[in-house]
Amino acid sequence: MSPGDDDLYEMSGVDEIGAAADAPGAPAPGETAAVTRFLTDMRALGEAPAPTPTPELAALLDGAVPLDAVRRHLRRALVRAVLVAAAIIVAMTVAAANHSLPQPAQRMVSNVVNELTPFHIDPVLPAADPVLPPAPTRRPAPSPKPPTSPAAPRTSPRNSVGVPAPAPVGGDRSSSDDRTSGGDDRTPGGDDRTSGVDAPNQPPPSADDGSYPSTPSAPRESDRREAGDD
Amino acid sequence: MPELTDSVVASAQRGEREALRIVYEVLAPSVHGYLRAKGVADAEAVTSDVFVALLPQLDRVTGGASGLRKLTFAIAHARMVDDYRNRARTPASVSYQADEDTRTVTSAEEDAGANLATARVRAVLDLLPEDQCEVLTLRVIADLTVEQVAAIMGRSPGAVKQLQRRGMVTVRKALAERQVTL
Repeated sequence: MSPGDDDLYEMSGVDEIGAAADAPGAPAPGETAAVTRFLTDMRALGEAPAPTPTPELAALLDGAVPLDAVRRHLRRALVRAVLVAAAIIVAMTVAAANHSLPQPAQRMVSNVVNELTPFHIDPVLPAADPVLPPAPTRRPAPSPKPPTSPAAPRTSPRNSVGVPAPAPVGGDRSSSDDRTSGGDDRTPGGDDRTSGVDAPNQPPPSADDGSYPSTPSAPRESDRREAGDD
Repeated sequence: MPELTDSVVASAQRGEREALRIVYEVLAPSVHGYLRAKGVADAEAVTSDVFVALLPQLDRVTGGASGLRKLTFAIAHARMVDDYRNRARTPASVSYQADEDTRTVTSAEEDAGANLATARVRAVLDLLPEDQCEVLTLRVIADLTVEQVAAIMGRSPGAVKQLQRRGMVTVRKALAERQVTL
């Protein structure tokens, strides 16, 4: 190892640099000295006094909080707030879709969803068996025969209080139609109005199926003839 | 000259002014020299930019003084690349006004000597390919290990050793053939 190599090791503290300067082959003493001087000059570049810091850096060195850091904190806080808000909105929407919210909140969330999104949420829970007070009727509707439909009409609250329920108009009406009729029953005189409105739209019931309308109707022509015959 | 130790770095991470000063005084000369060796136009301003970017990230530094040195020169390396790209896009159009430059506080003789040394080093480094020059400046001026240089340059340690060896061979040949007079 040459003296130049010693200088190089001491200067840089890195063995590989000196070894790389020697390879390949054995350098002449002058070459080693030139390489050592070059590395010394190069190393001296990093030993000059520190340059005067700019005003921004001087403020940072004095402990000022950099504006970028403040902005970064604000950005993180904003992202967190948006994420929390999104989670709350999703949770409220899911709860509203499941009708798990209190009624005012349910109505409000449903309205917002129905207005702003293509989805639809019923504002109120579909009433399964609403307990209604008995509606005043002018006269009880006679029901000569029970409906023949296999889907028996639901037990209405009116039945539970002893008021006879009106027979469905037409034995083939579905249960949803029954619910609609029940909804109309809430208004006074709803039975009559329902019968009066629905009857013209219904096909005339046949005498065989036994599903006559519950309201008394005018005697048919054949009945009059039979009466006249009698 | 204060020394950059792990405890100083820990104090700087807590925001202690004295520790921040030591970090700057120890690392800034190396950064400045590295940027000058790489031919950055305004090395002093870029040095300040490096520390403006470094100080807010101090709390994320791991590895003590060694880790801080590595992060510092990673930022300096990125700033140097930015400077090269900026100069490629917008060549300097303003001439240097020596009378208006109040940054120089050293004597003319010192400046001449320093500039001469810098010019000599730059003349040799200009003969090297870019990656070999980068390895030598980071190894000699920044005093980084092979592994740290490899991490900054995105190369393997073996590749860095190979670049360093080739670079030194080129330097020795150039000096032997008197392509550059020292």
